[in-house]
Order: sequence, then C-alpha cells, then structure tokens
Amino acid sequence: MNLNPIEVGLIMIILLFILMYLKMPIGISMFISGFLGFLMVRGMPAALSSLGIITWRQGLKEVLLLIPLFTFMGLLAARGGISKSAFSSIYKWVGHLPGGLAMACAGACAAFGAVCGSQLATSLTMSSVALQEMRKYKYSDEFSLGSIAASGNLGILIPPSSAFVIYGFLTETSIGSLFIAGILPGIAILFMFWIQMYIQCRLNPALGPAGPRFGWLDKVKSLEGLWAIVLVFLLVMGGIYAGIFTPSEAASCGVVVVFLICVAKRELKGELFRRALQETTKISAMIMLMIIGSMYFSSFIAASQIPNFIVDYVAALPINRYVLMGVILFVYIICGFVMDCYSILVITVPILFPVVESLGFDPLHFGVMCVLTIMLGGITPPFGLQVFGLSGMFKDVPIYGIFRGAFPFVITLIISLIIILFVPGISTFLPDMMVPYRGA
Amino acid sequence: MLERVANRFQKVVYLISRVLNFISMAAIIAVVLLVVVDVFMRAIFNDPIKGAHDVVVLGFSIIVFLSLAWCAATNDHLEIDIIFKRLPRTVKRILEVAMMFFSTVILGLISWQLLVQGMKLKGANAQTTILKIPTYPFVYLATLGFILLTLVFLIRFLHSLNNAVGEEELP
Repeated sequence: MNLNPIEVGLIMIILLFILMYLKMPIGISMFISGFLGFLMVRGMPAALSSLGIITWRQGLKEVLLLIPLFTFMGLLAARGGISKSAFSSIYKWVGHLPGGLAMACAGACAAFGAVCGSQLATSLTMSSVALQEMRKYKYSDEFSLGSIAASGNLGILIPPSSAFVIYGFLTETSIGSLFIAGILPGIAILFMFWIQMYIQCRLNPALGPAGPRFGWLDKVKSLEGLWAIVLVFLLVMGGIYAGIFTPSEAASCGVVVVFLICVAKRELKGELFRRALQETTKISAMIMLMIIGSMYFSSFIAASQIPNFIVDYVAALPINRYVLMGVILFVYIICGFVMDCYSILVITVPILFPVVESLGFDPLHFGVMCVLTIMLGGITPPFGLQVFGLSGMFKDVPIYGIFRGAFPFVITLIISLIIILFVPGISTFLPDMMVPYRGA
Repeated sequence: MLERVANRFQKVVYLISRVLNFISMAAIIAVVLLVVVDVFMRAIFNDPIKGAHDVVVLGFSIIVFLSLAWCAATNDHLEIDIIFKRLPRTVKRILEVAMMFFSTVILGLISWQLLVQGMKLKGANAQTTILKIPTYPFVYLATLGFILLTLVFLIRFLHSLNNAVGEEELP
C-alpha cells in the first residue's frame, strides 16, 4: 500500500479521534497515532528515536513551568479565603440591583480570575462562597448555578490563564503578551454578563430579587476585601507588563505572596497546603502528559505536510478572510461541544494556526478568540466542564437545569465573540503598549 | 490468581509512584523558592544567582516526569467517556483490554527510548550551559517516571483482562 504523507496524516487524525473516544487517555492516544504515522512516513528508526527525544525535550521547556506555578497559586488562593472577601466587597456595590448577588458573583469570579488560571477552580471556589447567599435570598438555583458556571469562565480569560500558557507554547507566541491581551476582553465580557443578568432579573424578578442597599461608607470600607487580589495582580501582571519579570518569575513571586497573604489571614492550615500542592502535581501531570503527546503528534502532523496543504488550499480560495475565520471559530465551537479545553487546544492549534497566520490574523487576537470558544464549551452540553463540576458538588440540582441556566450566557458569549472578531483592538491594544515591545 | 498477582504488584507500584509524586511536590517548592531568591538578589543586590536557570529547568523536568505515574494511579489523566459509557458492557470490557494493552505497549516504548536517550546524552557528555551539570541523570529519572507510568497501565491492563475473563465464565 502506497499512501502519500497527507493521506497518512488524515488517517492518523481519524485514528486519534477513535482512540480518544474509546476512552484511551488523550495524551497516550496522541502518542499512538503519532507513532504509527511516523512509522509509515519516516520508518521505524525515526519513529522510535523521536519518541525519546521529543518526550525528554518537553520536560525542559521552561514556559510550561507556568502551569504548575499558576495552578498552585490559584489553589492556594482558593483555600485561603481570598475569594470570600472579594465576593462580599463586590456585593456591597451591586447587591441592591436586581440579580445583584449573581452580579457580585460574576465580579468576584473576574477578580478571582486575576489570581487563578483555571475556569473550573474559579467556578467551584465561587460556588462554595456565593451559592449559600443566593439561596438565602431565594435566587432560582438554575439561574445561580448557571451564572456561577458561566462566570467561572472569566478565570481563563483574565490572566493568569492556563489556556493562554498552552496556546502560547504551541504557537510560540509571547505568553506575557497573551496574558495582557486577555485583560480588556475579560472586563468587556464581565460587563456583558452584568447587563444580561440585569435584564434577565428585571424581566423576571423571581430569578434573582434585589438585595439590601448599603451606604457609601460601607461600600468604601468593603474595598479592603479586594486588597489581596489587587496586590497579587499588580505584582504579577504589572511586573510582566512593565518588563520587570519573566512570566515564570512573576508566577513564583505570586505563589509566595499568595502564600504569605493566606498565612497572614490565618486561613491556611498545613493540611490544606499539602492538599493544594498534591492537587497541583496532579493537574500538571494531567496537562503535561497531554502536551508531551501532542508535541509528538504535532511533529508528525508537520512531517505529514497537512498544515501546508491546508494553507495552500485556503490561500487559493476566493473568500473573504473573515468568512474563513468564521468557519474556523465554528469548528472550535463544535469541538467545544465534544472535547475539553486542553484537548481542543493541543489537537487543533498545530493544524489550524498556520492557516490563521497566513490569513493575516494577529496571534494574540486569535488566542483570545480561541479561549472564548473554549469558554463556550465549558457551559454547553454534553461536555460542559464547569457544569459537571458544579453538579458534582450540588447533586440536588438536575444537570440539565444548570445547562438551561447557563444558556443565556452562551448567547452573550457568542455576541461577544463576534464583537471581538471584528474589533481586534480590544485584544491587541494593551499588548501593543507593553514595555518590552511585542516581538522584541 | 491473576487478580491476586495484580493486587500485590499494584501495592508496590502505587507506593513507589506516591513517593515519586512527593519528590515532584518538593521540587515545586524548591523551584519556587529558588526563583524568588534569584529575583530578590537581582532586584536588591543586582547579583542574581549564577546558573539558577539551569537548576530551574532541571527541577521542572523532575516536576513533570515524576508526577505522571501517580496521576495515572488515581485515574486522573484526561479521558473522554461520552461515547464509551453508552456502549454495551461486553464491548466495553473487550475495548478496555485492547486500549490498556496498546497504552502499555506505547508507554513501554517511550520508557525504552528515554533510556536510550539518556545513554546517548551520557556518551555525548551533555551538560547545562552555565553550571555544567550533566543532564543524563535527569533523563534517567524521567525514564523511571515513565517506567512507573507503564507499570500502572500494565496493572490496569491486568485488571481489565481479569474483568473480561470473569465475564465470559458467568452463565
């Protein structure tokens, strides 16, 4: 049988999906299909030796150190009471509006997202803080959990963000710039969520009745609940923005500062610290096996010439580039329905990124849009990460209820995605102003 | 019989995986402290630690490779089961045997090739750029991590085989 490399590549992509959906761990599925592919294109010796070389080299990529570091920082912050004080201080500002608690929760998710890089951790942390309050004020459970699931998404858009680390690693885009690029879209989406919650609760007050109004003195005083987050954010992102730190230096300092804050607040016990650390190695192992597998698979994909083939094919199409981007984003949204965020990134980015670049889109702009589509995937059935996480914690609310509660946010996110697609400035304005100039 | 062997084997392998995971946890703390001290020395005394970067990179390889096996032992590597769980039980059992078998084989191949890579780097006398630390011992550690990961999957293969065989014996 004589197949050309492109055909082998296509067969192996199909094999990859088959293996993955037969419940083989994703990282290992990528190794197997990559290995068989190399075997057919380059022969046994190359397939074998690249197994060792590529695997070892990923363990030396310093950028990936950001994954355990930011995970650790987020987990410490989650256990150290930082999320709770953020929630109560934002609540004092917006609590008197219809749906005020949900708005406070979205705000607190955005604030907590500034120290945590994972959407699931953000949602789960916030649910343990906010849901009880929301139930006390007779919020509908569907609406509450739906908004917690959706707002948790702000955790991966507002830096630090594990999705940006992986995207930056796969595309060799500056991770510092990606982080900074996520800030404005994150804030914009927070406001979109607020508007949507306000309208929803205005139309149907039973969803989320307004809470008591607080005086100005209380409001100003409550701001001290945010100091920890502001401090960490200014240190980590400010340091990266001003070019004082590399991202991994910023992350290490962030870990230490969050640790000290938690100790000062007397919230962190030895046992909690150990559990946070254990969880960190687990999450990093989970992501790293997948990344190593994906680097092996994507070097086979590069050898198969598929990306070049797609680039040439697309370049010859007489279609507007925004239409093509629309198609690509549509593919991502579909992938979001059936895969988790890390798998989407490691599988699709190596294949599609060359196309995006050849269409003349900014890597930062595309990165933000990728993360947005991932956010959609986190709250849509059948594989909504946050929804499953939350339904595991609150078994008394049916899972499809949470999906229903999150649905309005899906629409808001799609509208935001369209706006961000046509206004690249939202993503690129801040990074363009950065001290170490982009690309330098 | 198969089950008993698998269980005893499992105890040993899981214990070692756990120990390796503890080393990986310690490495995270060590790396964080080293980087922070380095930043401080640079910012305040304008005197960064020489070769800190070399140690950080090697430390990262420990974090990565030594945590893989325990993550598999607690069954936390990402898998997609939305289609799998809807399949009939017999099909599931058979597929599980096959999937675990192929996983074990490829992981075994990776372990072997990492070992080969380590020997090559030892022969070539590969070192880090500033401190001239030889890198091959760290490749051997990575190999150890992957061997343990392979063994965890071997155990899962044995269990799945046992499940599948048990199934056929039932009336």
